[in-house]
Amino acid sequence: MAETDLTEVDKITEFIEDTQEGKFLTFALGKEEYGIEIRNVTEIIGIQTITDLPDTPPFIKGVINLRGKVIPVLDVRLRFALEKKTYDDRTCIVVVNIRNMTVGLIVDTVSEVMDIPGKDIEAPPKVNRSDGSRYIQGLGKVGKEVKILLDTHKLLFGDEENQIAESLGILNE
Amino acid sequence: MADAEEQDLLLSFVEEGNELLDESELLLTERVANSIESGETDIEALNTSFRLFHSLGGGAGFLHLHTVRSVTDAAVALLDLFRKGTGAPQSEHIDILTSTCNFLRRLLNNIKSDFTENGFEHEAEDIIHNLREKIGNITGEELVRVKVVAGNEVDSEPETKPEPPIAETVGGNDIDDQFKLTITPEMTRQFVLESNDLLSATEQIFLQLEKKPHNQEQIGDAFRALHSFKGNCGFLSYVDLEKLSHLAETVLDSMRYGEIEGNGELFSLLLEVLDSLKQGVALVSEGQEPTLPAATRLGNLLQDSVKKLEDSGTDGGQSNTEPSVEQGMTAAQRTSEPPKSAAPQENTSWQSIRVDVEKLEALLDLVGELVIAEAMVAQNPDLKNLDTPMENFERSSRHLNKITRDLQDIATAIRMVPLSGVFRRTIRLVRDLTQKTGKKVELEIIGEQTEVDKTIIEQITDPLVHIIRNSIDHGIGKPKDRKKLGKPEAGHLTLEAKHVGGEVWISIKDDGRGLDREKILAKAVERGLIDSNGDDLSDNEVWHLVFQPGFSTADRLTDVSGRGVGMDVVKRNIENIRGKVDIISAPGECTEVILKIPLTLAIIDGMTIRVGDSRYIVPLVSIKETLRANADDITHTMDGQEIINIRGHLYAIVRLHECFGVEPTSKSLSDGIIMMVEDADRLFCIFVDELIGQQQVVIKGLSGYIGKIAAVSGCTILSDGAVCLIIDIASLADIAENGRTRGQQGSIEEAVTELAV
Repeated sequence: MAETDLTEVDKITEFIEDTQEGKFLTFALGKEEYGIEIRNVTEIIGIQTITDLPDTPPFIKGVINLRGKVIPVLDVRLRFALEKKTYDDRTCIVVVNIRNMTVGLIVDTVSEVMDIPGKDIEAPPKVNRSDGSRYIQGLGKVGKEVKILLDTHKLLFGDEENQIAESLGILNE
Repeated sequence: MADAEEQDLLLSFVEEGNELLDESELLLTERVANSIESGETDIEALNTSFRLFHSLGGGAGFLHLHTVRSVTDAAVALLDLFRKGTGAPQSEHIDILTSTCNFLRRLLNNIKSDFTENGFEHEAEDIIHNLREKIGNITGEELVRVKVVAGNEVDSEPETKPEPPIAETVGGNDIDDQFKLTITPEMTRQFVLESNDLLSATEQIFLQLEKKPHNQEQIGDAFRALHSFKGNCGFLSYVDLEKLSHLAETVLDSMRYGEIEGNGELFSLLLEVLDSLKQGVALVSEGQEPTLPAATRLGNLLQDSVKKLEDSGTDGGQSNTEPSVEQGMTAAQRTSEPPKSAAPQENTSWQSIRVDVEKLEALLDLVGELVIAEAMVAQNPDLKNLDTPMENFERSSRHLNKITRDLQDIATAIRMVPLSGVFRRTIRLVRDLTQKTGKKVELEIIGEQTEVDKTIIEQITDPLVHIIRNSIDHGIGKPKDRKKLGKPEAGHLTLEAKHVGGEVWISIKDDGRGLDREKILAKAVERGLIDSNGDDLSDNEVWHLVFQPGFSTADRLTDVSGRGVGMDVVKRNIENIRGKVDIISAPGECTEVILKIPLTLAIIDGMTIRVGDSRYIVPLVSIKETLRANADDITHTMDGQEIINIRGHLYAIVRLHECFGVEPTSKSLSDGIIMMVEDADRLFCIFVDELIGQQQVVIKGLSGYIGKIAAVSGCTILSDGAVCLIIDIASLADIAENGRTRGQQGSIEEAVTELAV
């Protein structure tokens, strides 16, 4: 009895959590399309005047004024160690909120919101090929195209290795 | 006629009573009436109005207002039936209950003007009769008409001690059980807030009474505060708290009627009781049940000491009644002399409400945004392209500007709190310390009405405690030692707050032995804090050594101070709120510690400067002067440090563009501006391209995502909407001292990047 009850509850919770799951906001960096889970996204704004911050890793571009709130913005290209690109009219800032922290992500351009069901998502190939691959949550297949789905949390906070590097930076201050 | 104090009590009762009536009438006419229509019983509304009438009755009983009491009792009985579901409320019941409310209101107003409830007996009888009739209809019992005897008995026989408040005897278990369910977190939160106020008020009064135990007015105040506290505890069924406060209240009551006279021992005990009550309240605020293990012990102690005092009181007098009357008389005479010292503090006409700090912060944020938005509208570049005359627009815009500024001022002022709360807490501290150390200290408090930002209050409490401890433990000597030196036996400690410029200075001054230069230097050498023997240090520099971590010159450790954690904590706390600490000392005469703190943490006066395309804010308080450099005054050392000679003094130059890694308009020192800045006692110069202007800025923190950035203390939003960093002069000073260059920093950054990517 108890077991069936539990699965019932699980199903419901899953259902609730699922309402936004499977929805991704896709954006472009160069030729590739990337996606992040829509539930972390609060808004999308155009590029703004960015105030430089000294003493920060290069991918942190600085801070912007989001209607009276000062939020940091990071350049996703630089985060992946891709080539720098000058910002233009199409450049967007995707504002995400994780762990009660609001951060802007600078991307080349925002494409669309799409459903990518779990069955169409594959784990990234286990080849430690490049630096950026650790941010990948999965690869979404949409028709013939492949969207690189990113782990927003890792994108912002990195993983352990990064944290060591970051604390090293703090210590050196 | 009731004496002034009784009148006071009656007036506050009337005020409270009217509030209770309003509230319960509202409940009855809206919620209960609605529930009759809908056919569902609103048990919560009934419970609440039952409680409201019940409190009113309790208060009335306590003041011997029998008419009020018997009318409310009847109403309570009726409501009790509904509450327990014995009967269902009908609209006729609502009618009679509202007319009861109206009657009680008239009665209360009569009490307010004439201090008597005479003349309302018949009407009361009618109302009670009606109420009982309804009760009878529900329960089927026969009713007996009751006779109401009016009169504030306190008037006629002032020497009788009032019975223990009825609230306690009526508040039986069945009520407790029912109410336990309805206590909401909001109620406990209110309870904690109110109790803290009441208990600290009582504490202050006790401390004053300790010196002048005959101040009837103050005894009355303390009695009332404790009584309200007890009432609240009873309502929330905190049994231990209620019992203990009841005992303390009884003691005060005896004091009030001159049956006993407070002495030092009794007040110490009462203060201990207060501490225990405070612990209980703290438990409540943590969401725990306030059980007080010490309650019984303290209660017994209280009763013992009261007994002792009573015995000593009756030994002197022959009969029991006469001395109490006599004492009552002298007490009355005393109160008739206006207590001049107490008068200015008792600003009873103050009106205030409690507001959630979060709401305040949100308001302040919004106002900050409004200021920016206003500037963005008024200085909108689109306006410049218009050819039409702008006279009207400009007039309206100026008006809007003025309103926004006023609004900003007020929003900031809301967060300002007088220092009196913190200052008064020190009275207790000084008392306890003097008892422990056997010293005599007179504490003088000046300027306690000075207001500072709420967050600052939180930050200066600990420093104040440390400094006062130091003063009493190390500064002020024992009475006999002081006598030898020809000083008065009692040390003098002055706590003063005043506005100086844009700062508030809090000074703690004692007339003790002062700081000992030799001792401090010896200790500093021993601890390795200074290299030389310190002969070349100025007095001021020597005094500042005591702020070093782990520094303590006390020869022996006491439990009061001397753990060597004091002064560095003081300095750190004060620096956290952008303040400074100064020490002035004359050996053998005095020590004065001055805390110089900013008025508010939310806004600073800043100078906007430009380096290349970037703008930064430098806090105005740090700027000593600005000048254009003459190439001849600049010396380059071989390690790349640049030094400027200003009127014979040499200062290091920090190039801001190097610190922040931006491209300046010019790298030549004589092209830009040299700004001399000061952090504590460190003076140095920073090199910038241009000064833009001075303005007040609202400080915003940088995102937690980024964490702390060297040389940046926060940021602000300029009138054009751009984010601008505020420079942290203290950490720039570190850079200036350690001579860190951009090159070293760059390598760290590269290392981080390598690891991170």
